[in-house]
Amino acid sequence: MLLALVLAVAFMGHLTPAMRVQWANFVSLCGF
Amino acid sequence: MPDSLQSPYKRTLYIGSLVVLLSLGVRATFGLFMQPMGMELGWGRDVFSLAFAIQNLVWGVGAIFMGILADRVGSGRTIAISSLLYAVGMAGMYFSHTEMQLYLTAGLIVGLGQAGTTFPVILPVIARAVPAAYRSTAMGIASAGGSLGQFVIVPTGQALITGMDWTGALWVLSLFIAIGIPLAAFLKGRPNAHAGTLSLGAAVKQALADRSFHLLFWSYFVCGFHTAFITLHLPAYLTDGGLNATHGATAIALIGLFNIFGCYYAGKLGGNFSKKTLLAWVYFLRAFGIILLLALPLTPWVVYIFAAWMGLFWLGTVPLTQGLIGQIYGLRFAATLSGIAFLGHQIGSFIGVWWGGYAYQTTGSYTMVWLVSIGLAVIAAVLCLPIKEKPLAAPAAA
Repeated sequence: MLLALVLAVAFMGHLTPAMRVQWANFVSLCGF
Repeated sequence: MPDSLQSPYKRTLYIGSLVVLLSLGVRATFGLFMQPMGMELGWGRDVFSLAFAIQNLVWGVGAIFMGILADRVGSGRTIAISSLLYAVGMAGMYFSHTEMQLYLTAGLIVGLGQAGTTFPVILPVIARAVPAAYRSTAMGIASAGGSLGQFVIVPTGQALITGMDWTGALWVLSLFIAIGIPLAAFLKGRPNAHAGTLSLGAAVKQALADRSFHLLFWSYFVCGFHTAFITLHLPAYLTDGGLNATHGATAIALIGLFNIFGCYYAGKLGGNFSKKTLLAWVYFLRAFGIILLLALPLTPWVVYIFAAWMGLFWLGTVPLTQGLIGQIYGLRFAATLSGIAFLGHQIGSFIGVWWGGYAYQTTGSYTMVWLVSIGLAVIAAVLCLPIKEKPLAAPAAA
């Protein structure tokens, strides 16, 4: 349950405006 | 203390997983520093790209040396030294005011630190600590831990950069890495319990003379090619296809999320089924995913399904490949042999990144690289099938 919550919050974190701006930089350098 | 931490092997498993989680998680945040650091110091994408290319290369080559160090002087010391190097390298990024200093800190020193705090060194420690029947599942859990770190620490890093600027975020993230220094005391491992008659040199020679090791090396090469090419070039591919940043961010989040489950289940299934067959399926299903992406119109939902699909088969190769190395060649020198195989992964990464860009520049599209990716996935799947999974007998003494 805690893991599901952490995953859900992290997923939302990836979609925040700041991450949306950064996403290409993030994946371009050592993303997953 | 929770029951799970009182059991010595579970303690090793969870602490080892935590070290990988922090190491890979913090590593994944580096791209987030490009914009704020670049703006302040006047560096462009080229400077950061070279620094992180150096980091990747040093990570690959360094994994062999850290593996040897772990097999010779012990994994605990190796992990402690590597965590220290990693944290010092990150702190050094704060003091970097020239490009060369960035290459030295974020490239060389951090790369060396990563070499001793990631899969090639940590998974053999865990494999040696847990009961044989639980070994593959444990490696799946540790690999999933690394994937969880990548998924969870990235938005955390972004929140830190937003809340306290990039310098504060860098300090906090280097503290995350420094946690590995005291934790290394719990990861000493028991390599001597798995001692055989072979020396390190003889074990490496034996592996290099065995066809299965080469098959694992080259299939790992394909894994590196795929993951590096897709992560580096997916933004441009999606943008060219008319998709926007929200679609891209969602796709990446889906890869990260499904990667966690893919790693865990790859390890778990590896305990019950043939690892080489599972590995072949992982590569084959990657090919299927890429075919779907190319065959269907590039809509957001197609990209999301592709991302989830590839996420499932993203780093699931790690517990299976390293599991096979331990299974075939034994655990005594598993860190060294894993390091050598991991170099294949990193060479594949390098070529995937470089050739992806080169092909795009010369042909104006990624189609050729996607087609080669499909071909390589099928070749990797076929390469896995002749692998002999039985433990290799030690050669008779002369």
